[in-house]
Amino acid sequence: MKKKNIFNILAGLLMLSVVSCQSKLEDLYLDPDGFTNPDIQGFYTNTQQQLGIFRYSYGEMFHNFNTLNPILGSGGFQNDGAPSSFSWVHDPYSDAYSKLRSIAAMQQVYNGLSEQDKNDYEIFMWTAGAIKEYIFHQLTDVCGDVPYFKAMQGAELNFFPPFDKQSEIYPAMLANLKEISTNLKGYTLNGSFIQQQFTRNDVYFNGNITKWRVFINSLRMRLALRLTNVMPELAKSTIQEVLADDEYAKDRATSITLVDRRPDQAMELLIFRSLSERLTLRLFVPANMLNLMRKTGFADDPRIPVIFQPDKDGNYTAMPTEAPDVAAIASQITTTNLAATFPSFYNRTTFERNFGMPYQIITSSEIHLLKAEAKLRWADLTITAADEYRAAIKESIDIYYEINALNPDNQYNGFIPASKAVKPPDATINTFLDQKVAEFNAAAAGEKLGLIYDQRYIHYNMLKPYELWADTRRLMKELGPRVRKSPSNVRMMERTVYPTSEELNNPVNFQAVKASNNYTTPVWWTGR
Amino acid sequence: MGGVIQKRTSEWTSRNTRSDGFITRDWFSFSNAKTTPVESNGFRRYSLLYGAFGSVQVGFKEWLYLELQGRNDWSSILPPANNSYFYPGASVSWIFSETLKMPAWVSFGKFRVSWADVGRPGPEYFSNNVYDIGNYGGVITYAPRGSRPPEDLKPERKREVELGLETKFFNSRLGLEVNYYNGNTYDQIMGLSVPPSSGFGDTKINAGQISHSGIEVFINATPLKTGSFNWNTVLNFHSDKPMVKKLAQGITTQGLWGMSGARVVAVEGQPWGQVVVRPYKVNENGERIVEGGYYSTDPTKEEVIGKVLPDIAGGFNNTISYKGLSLDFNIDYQFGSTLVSQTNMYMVGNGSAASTTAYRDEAHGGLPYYINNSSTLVLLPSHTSGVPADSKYPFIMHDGVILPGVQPDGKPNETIITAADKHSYYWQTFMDIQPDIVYKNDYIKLRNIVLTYELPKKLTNKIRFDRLAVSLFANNLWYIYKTMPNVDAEALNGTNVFYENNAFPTTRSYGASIRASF
Repeated sequence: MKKKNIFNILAGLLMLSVVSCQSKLEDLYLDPDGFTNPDIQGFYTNTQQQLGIFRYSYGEMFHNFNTLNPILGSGGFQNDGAPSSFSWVHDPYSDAYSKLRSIAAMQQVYNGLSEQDKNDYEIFMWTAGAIKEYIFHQLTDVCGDVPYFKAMQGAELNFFPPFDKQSEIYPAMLANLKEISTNLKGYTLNGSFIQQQFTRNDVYFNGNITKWRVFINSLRMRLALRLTNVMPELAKSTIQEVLADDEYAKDRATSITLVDRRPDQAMELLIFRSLSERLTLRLFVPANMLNLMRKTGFADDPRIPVIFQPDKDGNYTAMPTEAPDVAAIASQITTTNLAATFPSFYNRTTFERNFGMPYQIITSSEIHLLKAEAKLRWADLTITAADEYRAAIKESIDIYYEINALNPDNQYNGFIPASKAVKPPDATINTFLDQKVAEFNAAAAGEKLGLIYDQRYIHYNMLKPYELWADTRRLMKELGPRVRKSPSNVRMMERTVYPTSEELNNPVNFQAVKASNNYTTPVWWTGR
Repeated sequence: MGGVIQKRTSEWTSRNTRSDGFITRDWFSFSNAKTTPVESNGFRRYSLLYGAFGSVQVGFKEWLYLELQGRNDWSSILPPANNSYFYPGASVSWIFSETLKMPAWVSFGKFRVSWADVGRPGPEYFSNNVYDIGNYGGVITYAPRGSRPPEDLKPERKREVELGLETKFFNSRLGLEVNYYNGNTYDQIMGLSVPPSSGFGDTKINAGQISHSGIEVFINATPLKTGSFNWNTVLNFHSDKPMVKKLAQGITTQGLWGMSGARVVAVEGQPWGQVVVRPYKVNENGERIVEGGYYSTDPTKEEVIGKVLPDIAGGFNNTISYKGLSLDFNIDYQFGSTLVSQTNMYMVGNGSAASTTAYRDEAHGGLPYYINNSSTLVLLPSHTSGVPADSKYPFIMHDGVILPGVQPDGKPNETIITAADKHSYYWQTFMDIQPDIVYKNDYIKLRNIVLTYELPKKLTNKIRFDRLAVSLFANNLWYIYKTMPNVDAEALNGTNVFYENNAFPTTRSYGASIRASF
């Protein structure tokens, strides 16, 4: 009896220790810093807040200034006249697919939901679909043919998507955006817990469905205009549809802008640090831009003091474009004291450490210029080109003054007092606008397109390189050197190369794009 | 019998502020930082493994030995349902020189065979399906990770059979050792890289199979042993052939390394580490196609032109001694590997390779031509031709090249280019790796020589040393044979990197040393 008891006790202790060992192992199985139970809302907000979609990110802009400013003539630099070679450290390709990962995760969760929950979550899915197209249009504009229809299916073990033609991606993006826009027309959020969360998780537009429609329709117009060389019918019909729908960016209130919600991290993560670091290398006032803003016989463009800041002598001076002209002023160039430079820089108060500035996603100025161009192409559209042209310039002036005035930083010793610009009275601005409109009306048809391009060049400047780059490449077919603002020794970069990882890991499909894996083959929609 | 408890813990925490410095100088405290907030970052990794093992050894008459092993592990890395696994092993060795009647010149003979199965749980958290959490302006965010986790993780297994023969002859003056092994790793735990367009950077698998089979041979001998003169030598070679038997999840090719135009790959059913490049464009007759005066690679084709691992490698080590004087020298060799050499590409491209003297003038095979007013290069019949009337310059040139080959329409190439353009073509923005900068990397190398003089005992005793030896040595002395031009055959750009680009050569060193013992 005693022996049996001892045996039972021992067996019991052994059992206990086995159980405790097993539970210790189980406790350590999961990464203590990993989260196991995510939801669609969290993926959705993560999609929106990723750097480089709506918020211009430090790393990306740091490399964009270096590569794109000389190519687009949007940033003055000490041009040495050497023939340009191509390189762009930013890898938009891998970047785009990694941004799409949260949307793919949303889709996975969504696929497993009940019908009721699917209905409630569709607003998340539709608007995420619009963000997906926004990411894809940026990607295909710089890479041409990319995996689109079968991309992002790794979770289903489809690891090797084929490269889709840009000529098929563009109509598909437009069709999808049209469908989303139609779905959202008249849509209102219901009282369900899920839909009520949309207003909080939608950090772009706070659940404002109308704002989403404005964004989507404006994006449709942007995408449509890319097709003027290659699918003019689709371009025209899309623009007509959006005009008829009448919800798109028309003024400041409907411009799609975003104010960042993490000002504490903005200096490190967003455009501001890249500006500080590239100032003396790529952000002098570019001569071609300043010359357009200060034409003989015209009043000075009111944007000069908000986009640029004065040099050491209080003048707005530009870095010359061509190497011999740079060499001629070499002895005068000074950046030792950043508050007293020669020539002038971009306006540091407008663009640097301005953590509350609205990021310009699709502004009314862009759409006004787009409509003016559309009228020149399709005379039957109900648009007055000159009015759009005027509104574009006026609203561009307004938004840059608005941004300049928003900078709360009065302490930073990098700012010079003159970079806090004072907006001229309306009368002065109107005089300027009248002159610009008169110039536009007097111009021949081709030159009107050129003048519209010039306004894009000023409005986008170094801040929106992708839009300026796309319009430049598109218009080069019709306008040639008229839209080239770069030095003569800087060749046009038509696209960027694919990352080696795609060639290495998707080699069979990669054959389809291998021949255009360079910087010089124009993408399909250029028509060149 | 025995047991193991293995606990691994790594914790890393960092706190930092931005580089604006301190409020008061030289006081190293976060509360003295000019910039707030203080950022904090870190990770934690823990794992736990219990193991219980036992082994039995049995000997029979001192010529036959049997060993049996068994081990069971429990690991926290594996999912709770699969976290226990057992692996056994066995080996037999037979000293046949003790049992079989051998000729007198056979001093020793042993044969052994072993079989083992080993299990491994892989890295921590390998199969966790977890997400990163964060917040943006107070709203919770979840971010998927770039790696696709495996569905149901099992331990990785390696099963290996090894046969070995160890013999000594002529009073141990000659020894021969031969080992053959055949191992198969299955249910392999590894990450496979996938294209970014799939939505992942890599997918984690638990199903790969890679086999290794190989042979190792050691011959050691004392060819000369006459009183005060001795020569000992060891010759060894090994040949290892890793084969990719199976990958997983529909992936049949794995890129190990790559740059534009060249890849090193592991392909199912083929040797591991093949080098793949795009070949030059050729027509159906195999003739090189020349476009605009230049060759180009064919973007639609790829071909395997070698593998990164050698077929055989080994060494030849010698010690020759005479009284107190001894000479050691060691020779290494490898044959059968292939290497992409970007140094050679750039050397040709920038004109610093000796081969770029070709065509630079008449003496180096350059062709005569002139440049006409529309900047076209025109071939001339002779280097003594006069300057034609439509020449842009008042002289003719002597560095023309017409690359052998045909135009796309099949006619012989007649386009003349300059020697400088021919060579600098190798250094253009975003150019593919060209097949002719991929080299066979065979070599025989005299790795080191050591000459030692050991002072006689009589002398060392007098100065109260037990032993005193003086040596002269030299390392990395001489490539007796080498197929790679211009660069060191061993200068790779790090481990697991299968190319060469301006890597530092191994350093040659000379020196002297004194070794003394009291």
